Amino acid sequence: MTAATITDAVSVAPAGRRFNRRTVLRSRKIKAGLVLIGIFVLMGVIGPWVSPYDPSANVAGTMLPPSLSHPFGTTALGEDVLSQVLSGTRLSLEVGVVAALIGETIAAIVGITAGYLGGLADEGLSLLTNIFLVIPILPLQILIIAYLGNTGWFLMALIIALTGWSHGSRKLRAQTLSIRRRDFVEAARAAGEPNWRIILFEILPNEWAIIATGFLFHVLSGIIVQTSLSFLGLGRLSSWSWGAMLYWSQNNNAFLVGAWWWYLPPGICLALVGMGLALVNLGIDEVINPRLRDGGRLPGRSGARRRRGDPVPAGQTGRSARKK
Amino acid sequence: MRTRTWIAGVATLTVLAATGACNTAGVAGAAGDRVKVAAVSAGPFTRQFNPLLIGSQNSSGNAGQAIYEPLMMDDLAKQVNRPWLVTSFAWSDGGRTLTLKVRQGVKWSDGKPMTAEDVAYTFDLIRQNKGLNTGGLPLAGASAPSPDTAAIQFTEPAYQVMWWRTTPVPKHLWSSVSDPVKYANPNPVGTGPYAFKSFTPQAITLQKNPYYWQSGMPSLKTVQYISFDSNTSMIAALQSAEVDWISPSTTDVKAVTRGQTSKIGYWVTKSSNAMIFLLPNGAMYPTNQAPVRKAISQALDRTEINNVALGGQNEVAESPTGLDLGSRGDTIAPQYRGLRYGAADPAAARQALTAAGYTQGKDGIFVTPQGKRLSLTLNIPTTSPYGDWVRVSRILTTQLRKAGIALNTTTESQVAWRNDTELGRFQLTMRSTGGTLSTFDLFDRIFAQPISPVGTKTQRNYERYTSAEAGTLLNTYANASPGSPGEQKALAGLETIQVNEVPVVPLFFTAGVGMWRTDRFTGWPSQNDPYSVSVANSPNVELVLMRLRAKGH
Amino acid sequence: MRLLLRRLMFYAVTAWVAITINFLLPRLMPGDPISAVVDRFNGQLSPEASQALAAAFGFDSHASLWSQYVTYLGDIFHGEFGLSFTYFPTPVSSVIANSLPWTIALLGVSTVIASVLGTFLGVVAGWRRGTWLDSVLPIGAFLRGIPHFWFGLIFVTVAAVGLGWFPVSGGYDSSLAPSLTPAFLESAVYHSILPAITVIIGSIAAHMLTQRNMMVTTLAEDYVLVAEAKGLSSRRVMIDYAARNAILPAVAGFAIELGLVVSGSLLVEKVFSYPGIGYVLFEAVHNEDFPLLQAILLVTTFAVLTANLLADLAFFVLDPRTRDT
Repeated sequence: MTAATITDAVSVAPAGRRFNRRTVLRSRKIKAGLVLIGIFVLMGVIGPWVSPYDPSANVAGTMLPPSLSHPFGTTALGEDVLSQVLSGTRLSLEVGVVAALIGETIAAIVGITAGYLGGLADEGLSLLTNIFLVIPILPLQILIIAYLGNTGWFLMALIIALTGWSHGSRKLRAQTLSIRRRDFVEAARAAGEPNWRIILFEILPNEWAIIATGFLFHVLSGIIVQTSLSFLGLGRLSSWSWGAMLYWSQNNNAFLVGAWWWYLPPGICLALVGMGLALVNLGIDEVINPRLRDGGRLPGRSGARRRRGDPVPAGQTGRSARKK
Repeated sequence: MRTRTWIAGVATLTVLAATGACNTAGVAGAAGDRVKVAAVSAGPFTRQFNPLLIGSQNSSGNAGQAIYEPLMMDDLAKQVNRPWLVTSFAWSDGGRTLTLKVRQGVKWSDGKPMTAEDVAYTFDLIRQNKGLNTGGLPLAGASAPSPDTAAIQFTEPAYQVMWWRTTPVPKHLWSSVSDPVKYANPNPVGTGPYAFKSFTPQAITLQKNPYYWQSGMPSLKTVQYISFDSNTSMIAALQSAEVDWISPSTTDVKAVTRGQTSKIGYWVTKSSNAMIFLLPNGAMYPTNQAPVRKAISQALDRTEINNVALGGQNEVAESPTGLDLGSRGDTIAPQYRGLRYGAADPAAARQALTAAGYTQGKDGIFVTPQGKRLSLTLNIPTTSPYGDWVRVSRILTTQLRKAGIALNTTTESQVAWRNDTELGRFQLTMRSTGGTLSTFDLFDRIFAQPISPVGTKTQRNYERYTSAEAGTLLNTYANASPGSPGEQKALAGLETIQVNEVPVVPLFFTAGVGMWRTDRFTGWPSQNDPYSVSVANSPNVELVLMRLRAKGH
Repeated sequence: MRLLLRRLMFYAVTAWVAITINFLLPRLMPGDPISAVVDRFNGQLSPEASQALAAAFGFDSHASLWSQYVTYLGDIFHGEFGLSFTYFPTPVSSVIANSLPWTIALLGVSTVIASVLGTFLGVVAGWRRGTWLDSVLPIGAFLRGIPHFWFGLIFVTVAAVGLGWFPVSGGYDSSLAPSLTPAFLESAVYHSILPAITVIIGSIAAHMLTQRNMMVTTLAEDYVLVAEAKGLSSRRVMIDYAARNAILPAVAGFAIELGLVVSGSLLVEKVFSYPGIGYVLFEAVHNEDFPLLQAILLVTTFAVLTANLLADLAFFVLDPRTRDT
């Protein structure tokens, strides 16, 4: 349920809808999501510098509830929780982002190649994808990271990427298969364009939505996996991350003694980052599939209202405008 | 209509839950003479009670410790051996023959008498099956010349061999077992105060052994061992009286019992006399240099470490010989009897380093005569029960810095850490050693020669300290009869090496935490009544179980 | 039919590769189970014990990797998985037999509930757009970001320890033995409520969001428009025309999620001390218990393969378009 399981909304994308910058930026969901993500990215970048205390230093009494000098209270070792949250943002996000970059790249290469080339290459690559889909991911990650010992964050991101890329690959393959048959691709092939140019300039741009949503989904799942692994006590716990905070809080029985200030902030931060990512994903879905946006004529309860400032979906009749 | 069926479904579930709640609460309250113990949090139990296999105790929740008994009982609180199933013993033939006087009147829980035959049979079983010989006993043979005498033959002088930990098994049941090494012993029959009644992966139920040799004992009718996955769930269950006695691995007891001190009691003891040592790698530079190791030892304030990092729960090492003053005071050579660790002395450490040719750099860190900066890396595990060691490492860093040594800490998972320790892949690490009542065992683990090179696994001398002299002394010790001048001389020699060369740096003893419901049972051990250690996973558990009395509901 | 045969072959090859990887992986990892045992005893075990353990675990024989592999394959087909090191000398099959049913029961039921509930909510939210139900989106988005084990920890703290409404841990009350008596079943259900709620909350958001979007997209299709124009009742259009097509991807996702039930259970079981296979897996990793690890990985892999196969079959039945390719 945490690491990549559910296939996300398979957007039935209308053909050839290209990148529409205006529409993207006017989507309220995307804006809201980006704001949330932006806050945490900022925290990740400047976190260690703006932390009021050294997150590993014993600066006050143990297990103190929030106060003015320690807005998030202190831990069982007298460390400042707020400093830990701020300093830990970077590692928590890093692993997810890098894992997603690597994983999505692999997924794109494998999926698009399989879908485009077809035949034996497709069979081979699909077999590879299937194998990785079938292998239990979390146990594998635990196995590798437990035995590797002192794993830096990059190694962890690599392992997460290498074990979790297969879902994106399947979707991209399916989409590539459907795009390959379209006229403009056939035209390009007939014109003699080399394969790599076709993939890069005709096919990829049409799949930006799937790649983007897949990437964001990967980031989310990467962050959750890193948190889960840290919670289990694996990986390098000497560096701060939200997952490490959860591990130490559980190790010191924070849950039993009611030290909510210690374990709530990391969880809420995770939820907010996740929410931001999910919002952007939903927003992208709406951009490429205007039917998902509010407004437009749809069956069902006819109370569908169009809000001010929403982009008017192209291709709709003027009836919704009248219904204002 | 759909909504209606939906509401009906939810309502049914709620009713089920409510009735479930009432029922379970009712059952928990009525257990007056049933004590529930959680010895470890190692997940669901598996049904195997073979006492001669090591793995078995942990996975049947240590319930075997209430069913089977050793030949002599290790009184861990007082650090002595007590006659138990064996009333006396004598060595002869230069330590190659051990004659045991077996207690009479002891019966197995199926009513048959236990005799010297069973004892001899057990040792013979161990001799024939290498997989059962977890103590590494160099056995040559065993016999029972009379019903109350057993004679065990060894291939070499075996004075220091820990034979008394062997648990006799009933010959009349085990002689038909085809492969004792793979035998799970699902229905254990032992001599202990409790006999096996039933098994589920969550709870092992034992009931009073009607044939127990100590008459009138035990008083509680039933003991149940409950399984848990984690410390937290174990503690939470104690707080809600779903279990009565737990021994979680090192935890901040005071914080967890706050507000419930009238119902929950605890005692933190040395669970055994295992000491946690700081291990500097003796096969690598610069930790193979005595001045560096001594400087490290001098710079430490063990009391501060204990108070700040361990909540004051552990007992600090007091004697630089590495021996426990309380129980082993008389084995300490006279010249070291008064020797104690004092407060940290970073100035003395710096002086000693300078005198040995080390120079202090501008950043305050010393540089060795060969030009290497004293920046050392400490390798520790993080997973429970080692979570506290990270705290310890922080204090160590601060203390060592004052003596001009920089300490960095790397953490790893327990799996990786123990591999690295056994392979010698570390510069500094911590490890607990010597949890038995045998002084020889402790020194053997520190000094065993020859060392295994870095990259080869070993279970002794993790720190790879080379000393031919130590090897000879250990040999003499092993072959000297107990109490002889030869033994004393060897012991003194080993202590001298430890004090002067500091191959390992003693830190503190391991702490065992026992927590229990004082509102349901009385008779728990305590500071005032230290008849046993407080942990539920030691061989002393039957001592506690026999003393417990139920309080009124 | 040919298509089905091709798929089956596909699965067979995938299964074989997965089995081989399951064999190699524990062996490639450094370390050995003997140090695990020694470490567990915290200094109380004499060093000779390692030799005894090596003899007991069967490490004396130095068979080549290839012959071990052949033996391994043969053993699988005979259903022999060897003895576990962690729980020596218990057979691996009985360790798994004791714990797997719990995981399947808990997660199986929770996943079904989450899928059904999530799909239902998604369909309704998609149908009734423009109302307060649209707030399902940000709520769902928020829920997706939370690690569900964190939820579990909070539940335990609040509902079990704090309020005492639910048991703190375990699969059933310790005074009962597993059997099909009403008392036991009741206790089992009672103990499973908190873990189940945790799992459901963790996975419902994804279902909800996916389904809502699918629903909305489907609703815009022409055939739905036609159905409405024909004058069919709203409910009929929603169920027979829209939902029926919208849930197709959900079926695939659901089947796959069922297959992943085993690997996803680990954290929930750790938090609730639930006697399932997730915790056993963690212990097996910790103790470098190759036989047990291999067997668990194998079971999980087969669960996923079977689930995928069932999903393919379901698609075959539900969606005529797949029969044509």
